[in-house]
Amino acid sequence: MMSLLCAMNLYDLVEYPSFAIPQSYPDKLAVVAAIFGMKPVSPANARVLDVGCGAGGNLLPMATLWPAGEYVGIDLASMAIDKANAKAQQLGLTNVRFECVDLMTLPEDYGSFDYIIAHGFISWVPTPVREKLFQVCRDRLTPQGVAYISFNAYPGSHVREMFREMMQEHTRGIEDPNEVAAKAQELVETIAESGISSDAIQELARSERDIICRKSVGSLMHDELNANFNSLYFHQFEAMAARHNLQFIFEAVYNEGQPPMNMTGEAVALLEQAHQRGFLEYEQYQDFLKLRRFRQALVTHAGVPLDRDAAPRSMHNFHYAGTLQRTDVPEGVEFTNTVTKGAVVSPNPVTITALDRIRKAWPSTIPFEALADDAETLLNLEPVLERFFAAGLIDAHATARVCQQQLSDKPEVWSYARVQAASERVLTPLTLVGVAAEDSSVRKLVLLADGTRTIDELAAALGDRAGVQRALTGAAKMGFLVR
Amino acid sequence: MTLYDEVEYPSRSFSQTHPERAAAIGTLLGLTPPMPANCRVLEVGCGSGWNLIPMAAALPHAQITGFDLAASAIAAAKRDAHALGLENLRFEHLDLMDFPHDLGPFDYIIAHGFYSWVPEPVRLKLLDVCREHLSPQGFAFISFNANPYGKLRLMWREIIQRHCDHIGAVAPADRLAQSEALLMTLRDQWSRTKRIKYYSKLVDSQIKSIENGGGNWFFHDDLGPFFELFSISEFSRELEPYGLQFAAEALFENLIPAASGDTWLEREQMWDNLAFRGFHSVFICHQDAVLRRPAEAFDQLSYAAPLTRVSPALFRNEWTSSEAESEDPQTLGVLQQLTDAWPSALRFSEMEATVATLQELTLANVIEPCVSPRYFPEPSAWPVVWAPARLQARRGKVVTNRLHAAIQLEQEPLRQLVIGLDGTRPLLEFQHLFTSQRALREQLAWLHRAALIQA
Repeated sequence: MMSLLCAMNLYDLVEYPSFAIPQSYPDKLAVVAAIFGMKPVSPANARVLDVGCGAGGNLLPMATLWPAGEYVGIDLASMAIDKANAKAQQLGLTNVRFECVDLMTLPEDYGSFDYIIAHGFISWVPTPVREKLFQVCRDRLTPQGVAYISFNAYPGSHVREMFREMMQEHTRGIEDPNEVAAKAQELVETIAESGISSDAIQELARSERDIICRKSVGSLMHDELNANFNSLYFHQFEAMAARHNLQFIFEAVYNEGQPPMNMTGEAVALLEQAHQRGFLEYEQYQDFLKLRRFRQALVTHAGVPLDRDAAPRSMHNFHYAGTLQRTDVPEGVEFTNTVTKGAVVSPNPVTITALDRIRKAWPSTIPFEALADDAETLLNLEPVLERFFAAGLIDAHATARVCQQQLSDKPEVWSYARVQAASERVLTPLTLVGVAAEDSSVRKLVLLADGTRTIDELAAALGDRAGVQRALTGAAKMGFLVR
Repeated sequence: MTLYDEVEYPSRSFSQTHPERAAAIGTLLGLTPPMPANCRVLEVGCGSGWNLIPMAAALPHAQITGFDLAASAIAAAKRDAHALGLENLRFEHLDLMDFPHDLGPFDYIIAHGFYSWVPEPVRLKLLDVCREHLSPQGFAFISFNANPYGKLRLMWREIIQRHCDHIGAVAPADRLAQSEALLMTLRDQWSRTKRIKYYSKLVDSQIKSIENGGGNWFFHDDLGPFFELFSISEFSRELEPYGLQFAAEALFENLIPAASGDTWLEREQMWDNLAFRGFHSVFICHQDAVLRRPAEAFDQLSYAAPLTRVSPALFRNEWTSSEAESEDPQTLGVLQQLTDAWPSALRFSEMEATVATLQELTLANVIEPCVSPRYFPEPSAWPVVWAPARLQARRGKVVTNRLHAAIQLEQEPLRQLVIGLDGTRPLLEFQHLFTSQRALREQLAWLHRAALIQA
């Protein structure tokens, strides 16, 4: 199938939703790489390859953010590629190209890449293609290059396969994807609500239902009901990487690479025992203890020296952000990340100041140097920031994100979201987490707010001054405005 | 030397594998199955023979053959069969792949704990043997692991295997101990995370079964070299090229799936999904056998049940713990008749019952159908416990009764009584084991109700 270049494939029949994967962005990959002692290429002018790029939902915002970078997206679905190219043209981007190219025959003249992204790829392709991806990473990554490879992980993935197999059997012989998806979701719903099995089983069924039945036809057909659905234990992934002279760096989401919270003494002992057999074994046991079902692994060349203890000393390199909420409590100040739910209570004025500055900067990032007023305080702050980063309380970026917080005379929504507003209902802010804009007048506002019109003019165009004011204030908070 | 030579697979009887069960279900489906009394039985992977030994003792005119790849198990089986003087039973140390052409045909073929635990060629060879050697109206019993629940067992299994391989736990006893410890650590950790908390309850049921003496089963069933899962639909498709078909589940409670579907198999599959089943015990037969499903020929069989009347309207089956509550005088009448008759069975014509009542009670596991009418007389003054149980009682607490069910002898005096009652001594000689003559007589009555008394 993969060798029939650009033949109509499943992805042409059923569109797979294409959106930004923030954790695959070079400014995030560079953070994790730097934390482990690498010298990653600056995200602002890197060469990036996105394998299985779909309609460009991941690369287009990236190319818009960093005009000095160079971006290549490949996919077998020609319709998606056409769409991606059309949008690149609308955006006036000259630093990105999308090609309907088979990874198996990736042309030599594509050159090498500082970052390679393969999201939702290796678990959904046949073995030779999976092998090829590792070969491409080996051959095409620059010396300090980083590849992001996500995959379905065992042991947790067994439960996904459990439902996949039930759905497949139930829809055997049906061709129409919409009918397949509808029948499959109906089955899962019935199982979840049957009440026949034990409480624990019903709970399991309901929690899978909550995932499966919320999926669009496209996601379901391309994920659970894909013809290929492969899962790997971490150690199998790592062995495959090693065979191709690559090594595992860490999870792309730093927080997700941490051991489980609230461990029992036995679990701690088990992990320590594993750690004595090496870092990779430690990672594998984490997956057991967390029943992990998905990994977003970063890899680099096997020869790159990694320092697994460098984290607390690397934090001065980064910019910080977080949707923090501040509450004064008797013990000090509590900060809660409203997205990740990570929380900390601190009595320490230095910590409080730093977190408060991060809080106020949102949706922009704030550089390390701005988190305290003198050099010595800053130095002591590094390990603290690492802990907060690990706990998911704050986020670290290798480059600054600058958003307009206060409404200006002539508000400007960043160009990517403006182009999106013409045809899409989910808009991407600079924070890259999509926001549903079901209301057509909101989308119209986004289209018009290009920095040439005053708020009065926008209000006149939409005929709802209060609404425009409210929408723009919201857009500013969510990180849509650049001016 | 196989793994089964190293760690004994506890060999015991499974009443669902008995020809009596196969014949009863075959009859219910409208077939004319061979009569158990003089049938030919083959068990593939018979272990140390304790499924076949009581079967051969109960069916002296049947011809019974068992084989296994574990030489030590076959040697033990032969010793016990010889000790019991069973001449209708032969055991062979044999690889299924070398199955001789001149063996058979067989009316009933049994492969319990086999299908999911062998490599594909061996599994398919079993089907080939069924095609070639199963008699036209014969049934083969096959058990296997299934999706969805089997996936959880697969998950525990893979985690355990990785762990044991990595810490160098090689010896079976060590592996088993490490497995249990690991599962407990995981259970306790999982219970601390909301997202995966229910997995701790799921793995806990596995731990409980190991704690309750299922260690050796777990070692072979879950940690052996193979562990394949098949949905009932996949299994059924695998039979097709061999001219075989899925006939029915071997347990009465699963006989008629409580789910809907366009075909019978869809109903079965849907029930598996809803009930989250992970294990199947099924009968298969030749494709040309015409099956009438759902099972309906309940008027063709005899019935028996170890019942207690708990209250005027409530009966409880002592073995299955299933209960029947009814206001209907006819149903209550049937239940009382069966209570009185036990351990003997009553023919349909001897009861004032409708087919619907018998079907309902059978599917609820309250009563059990059989094809062969049976009459077990009251114990004599010189009672005889049937021989296989006497041999088993010398070794442990679990014995097989004349109906092929496993019976636990919890109290030591009772076990001694079972060993001693060989017909050479009058009952009263065993008075010293109990506090009173009345207690002794109660124990004898218990043995009779447990279908362990031969005379």
